[in-house]
Order: sequence, then structure tokens, then C-alpha cells
Amino acid sequence: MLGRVRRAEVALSAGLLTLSAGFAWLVWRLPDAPGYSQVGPKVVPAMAAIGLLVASCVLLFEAMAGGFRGRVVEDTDPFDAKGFAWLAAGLALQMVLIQYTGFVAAATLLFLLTARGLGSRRWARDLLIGAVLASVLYGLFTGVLGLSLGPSFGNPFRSSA
Amino acid sequence: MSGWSSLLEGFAVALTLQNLGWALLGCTLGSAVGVLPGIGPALTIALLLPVIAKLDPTGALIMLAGVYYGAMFGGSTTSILLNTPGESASIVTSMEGNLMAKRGRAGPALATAAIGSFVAGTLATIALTFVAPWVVDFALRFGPAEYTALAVLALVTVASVLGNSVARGLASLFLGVSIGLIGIDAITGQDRFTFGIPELLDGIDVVVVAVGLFAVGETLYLAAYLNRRPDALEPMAGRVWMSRDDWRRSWPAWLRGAAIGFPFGSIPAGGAEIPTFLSYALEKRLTRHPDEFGKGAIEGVAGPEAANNASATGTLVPLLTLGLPTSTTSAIMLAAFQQYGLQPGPLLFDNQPGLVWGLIASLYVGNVMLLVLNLPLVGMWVKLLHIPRPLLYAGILVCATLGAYSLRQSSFDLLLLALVGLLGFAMRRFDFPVAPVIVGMILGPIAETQGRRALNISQGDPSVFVTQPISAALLGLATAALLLPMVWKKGSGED
Repeated sequence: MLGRVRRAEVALSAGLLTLSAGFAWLVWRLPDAPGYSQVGPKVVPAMAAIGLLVASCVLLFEAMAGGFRGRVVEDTDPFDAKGFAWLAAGLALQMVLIQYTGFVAAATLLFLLTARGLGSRRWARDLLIGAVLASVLYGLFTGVLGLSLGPSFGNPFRSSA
Repeated sequence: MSGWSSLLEGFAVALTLQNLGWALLGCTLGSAVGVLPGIGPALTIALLLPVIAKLDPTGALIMLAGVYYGAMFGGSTTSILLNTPGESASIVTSMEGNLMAKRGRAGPALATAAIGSFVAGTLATIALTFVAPWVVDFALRFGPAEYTALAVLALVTVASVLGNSVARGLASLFLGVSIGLIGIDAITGQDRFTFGIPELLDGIDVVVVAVGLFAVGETLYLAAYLNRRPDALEPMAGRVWMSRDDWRRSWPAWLRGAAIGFPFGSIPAGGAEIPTFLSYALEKRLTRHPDEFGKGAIEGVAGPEAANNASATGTLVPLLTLGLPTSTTSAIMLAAFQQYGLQPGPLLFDNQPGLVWGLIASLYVGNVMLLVLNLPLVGMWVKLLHIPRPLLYAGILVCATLGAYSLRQSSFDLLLLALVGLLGFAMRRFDFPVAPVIVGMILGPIAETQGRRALNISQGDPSVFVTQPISAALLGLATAALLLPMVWKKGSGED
């Protein structure tokens, strides 16, 4: 009977093995060099793919035969799915919303959800700090440093940017 | 090429008002982020890469060097007061340092760390000044075969020496190399692993990978596994000054730490972690107060902190003279040079002496600034540790997404950032080292280009790597670095 951690290690190394097999297949499918070259563009990718295949085979073997070698397991709480979900939601929402709302609003939302995921319940404070931080960063980037952060519909710097 | 006259020219560059300003900005920023738990020099420099894109290269690189040094200084404060080392190289400092703080001796611990960092940093910079021209002369004889062998050696050492398992280190390394290969092949123009996605033709930016692994991965891990753990912040008790006895016990440890750290940093030997452990072991053996080790011995802070800083400076030797990154931070520093179209190496010393020597001179200046910033003002930095964790990490995530989004204003980079963050989360959970991913991604393509160049010169004959003595010796070392830890771990694992 495998323990919970061991099952996760087996799953992880099996996933890594699948990934490296897919990677090796991609290398195999790469066309040969269009121009003359002693060593084509496939050699080093092939070495990396073989290396990854071998490493993931070793890891799968280790996981099946008692667990990863020399793994330092930190003393942690059990997996907190809620905390993880708040953060994932923040990242996903920002990714989608940033095209419509611009950086400031999307980043403020990310700030709010991340703080919530890490245990803060003070929505108003977090909203205010997040909005100020995102606005200051936006102003610094676009105004002072002359870098672009894209069209900024719906943020206070629209007229000046 | 004489070290002194070049250095004087360097000071002429570093001491201009503008460049002093950049150095001060970098040192201040570095101290601040070094103190904040969860942000290290590598992450900060990665976040700054898009910011400095339009600045003058000399000033910008001087600032980055200040950040690098500052983060090393500031990192010791966190290790001592909070016992959460910001990076692997401060683990040792946090052992004795935090115990000193628990016994109400936080002040002397912080002082010996800061002065030790200054002493070791300055000594190592002097060593850099004299060693660099010598290495440059030597490196002028290097051809593509030697560079390939050097890169392979650096890749192997970072993967096998760091971390707790060679298998996991190599998995990280090959993952990193594979990420680095995404995009258009520099020699033939062939696109590789782009899946027909146009955004991938330019490759994945090192900013996305470094920030994703460090900032996003770390925050996800914190939320998922360490959320309810309160931070145990030790109060800043005691004066920030050392007694006569503290001085007497600290200075030999600083010198020994510097002597261990610099050589380790300047060869590809896996980074700053090992010299700190070696220094700790040495101090424990030489001390006249063996009873204090394990309860907070000042030598156990002074030596490793000095070794840590000296080896950070040491990594600049292969970076500047050969273009060879041997640690995560120097890999990202290399990306900063490349961003300006500069290629560190012997030629850079010829083509851009003002930039290179200005940068080296600024390290002397930066060390002095950091001593001033960190000793009298340490109380100010400590206040940063009182930022509530949810706000701190939410701010880090906002900066992380800002850095990724500013590259191309594309949601695709945010998607990549999140995916790399998930990877970093899993790597943290299953104890995979992160450094080989970053170093592999930067150094892998360099090794590939040099290796193919060498084979083109030799008309495809692969024996070129083993018939030339320097290349053969380096590859022999790489093989040893790969096999020895396995043999050694097998031997020690039996008992």
C-alpha cells in the first residue's frame, strides 16, 4: 500500500516520463536542417530529450521502490485547497480581464484575491492598497520609465498615457 | 593589461554622480528586497530586466550589481531575525544567527554579518581585480571546443552538486535546457518546439521563467502548505555593536570565510551553498568555544556570511571574463548583458573597458554604501519584516505579473508565467532544485552554439573535444562532478 506522498511521487515521475516521451517524439519529428551544417538543429534537443527520459525513468523507479532518494520533506500543514484556489483564480482572472480592463484593475483584483488566499479578511484595506500599488507601478512604468503596458481602458492614467 | 590602471579608469566611471546614484539606488533596493522574505537577488534582477531595457547599460548594470550585493547583505538580516533563509546560501547563517537572536544577541549577530560581508566583499573584489585580467589573457586562447567544455562543466556542476539528488538535479537541468531551446535555432533558422504558436518563436523569456519559478511558485506553495504558520520574528534586542571579544572572534572567521568563498565562487562548483557549509565546519573545528556552537556562536555567523559574499563576488569572475554563469543570479545577470547586445568575455574587456572596469570599481563603492546602509540603518530594514504576509506576497505577485506583461503586453506571457509557477510549485513540493532550470535555460543554448561551431571547424569530427588538452581536462572534471556525488551518496547511504 503506497502512502499519499509516495503516490504523488509516482504520479509526478510518471507525468514527467510522459512529458519527456512527448518531447522526444517532437525532436524526432523535427525536420532536418534547411541549410548546410555539420551538426543539425536536432542533436542537442535529442540529447536533452534522452537526458530527461533517463532522469524521469530513474525517478519513477525511485518512487516505486520506496520514494525519492534524499528528499527533504518540509514539515507542512495539509494541502490547503482553498488558499491555492484563491491564488489560481486571481492569476486566471487577471489573464482574461487584462485585455478588457487594462493592467491596473486586473492587477488590483489579483492583489485582492492573493491576499485573501493567504488569509487576509480585510477586503477594504486590501482593495485600497492593491489599487494604489497597481496605479503607482503603472504610472512608474509608463510615465517615468517610458515602457508600454498596453492600452489602459478603465484606469486612471488613460488620459495621460 | 594592468589591473591597477584599468581599475583607476573604472573608478573614473563609477564615481560620476550619475553612476554613484545608480549604485546607491541598487544597494538600497537590494537591501530592501534582501530583507523581505521570499524575494532574493535572482528574482529581483529578473523583475528589473524589463524595467532597465531603455536605460544606459553602464548605469543599469552598476545598479544590478548593487542589487546583487545588497540582497546578500539584507538576506542575512532575515536569516538572523526570522530564521527563514531567503536562499540556500544563507541557511548556515540562519542556524547560529537565529540562535544568537533567541539569546538576545541579535545586534552583534547582525553587526558581524554586515561587517563580515563588507570585509569579504571588498577582499573578493580586490581578488577579482587581479584575477580577471589574468583569466582574460588565458581565455583569449580558448576556442569553441574549450567554451563548450566549460559550459558543460558548469551545467553538470550546478545540477549534480546542488540539491539532494543527482536524478532530480539532472531532471531540472534537462527541463531548463529544453525550455532554452524553444524558438528559432540561431544557426539554421529552424523553429523548434513552437507548436505553431507565433509567440514562442522568440523563445520563452528568462524573466517569465525566473519570476514564475521564484515568485509565483513560492506564493502558491505558501498558500497551499504554510498558510497557517505564523512568522516567529525575533526582536532586535541589544545594541548593534560588538564587544571586544566579538571582534576578536569575528575577524579571523571573516578572513577564512573570504578565503574559502572566493575560489568556490570563481570556479564552476555549484554556487554559494558549499563554501558556507565548509566555512561553518571549519569554524566549528577551530573555535575555542565549542560549547557555544549549536547555541549561537558568533564565528558560525561571521565565517559563513563572509564566505557567502566572497563567493557571490567570485561568480563575477567567470561571468565577466568568460560569459559563463555558474549560479542562478549570474545567469540572470548574463541575460541583462545580452539584453543590451553585450557579450561578456575577453572581448568585452577590450571593447567596453569603461563598462567592465566601471562595474568592478562600483563593487568597491557599493560595499562601502552597503556597510553604511546596513549597520546604522538596520532598524529601518527590520521594519519591513512587519509587513503582513498576505500584503507582501500579493505585492510580489502583482510585480511578477507586471514584469511578465511588460515584455509584450500579451496575456500569453501571463499564461506562461502561471504554468511556470505551477512547475515551480511542484518542484518546491518534491524537492527539485530550481537553479539548474535557470542556468540550463541560459547556458544550454550557449553550449549548443559553441559546440556546433567547434564541430563545424573540425569538419564534424567529435574527437575535437577530447584531443585538445584544456577541453579534455574540463570534460573529465564534468564527468567526475557527475559521477562522484552518486558514488559518494551510495556509499554514505548504506549505513
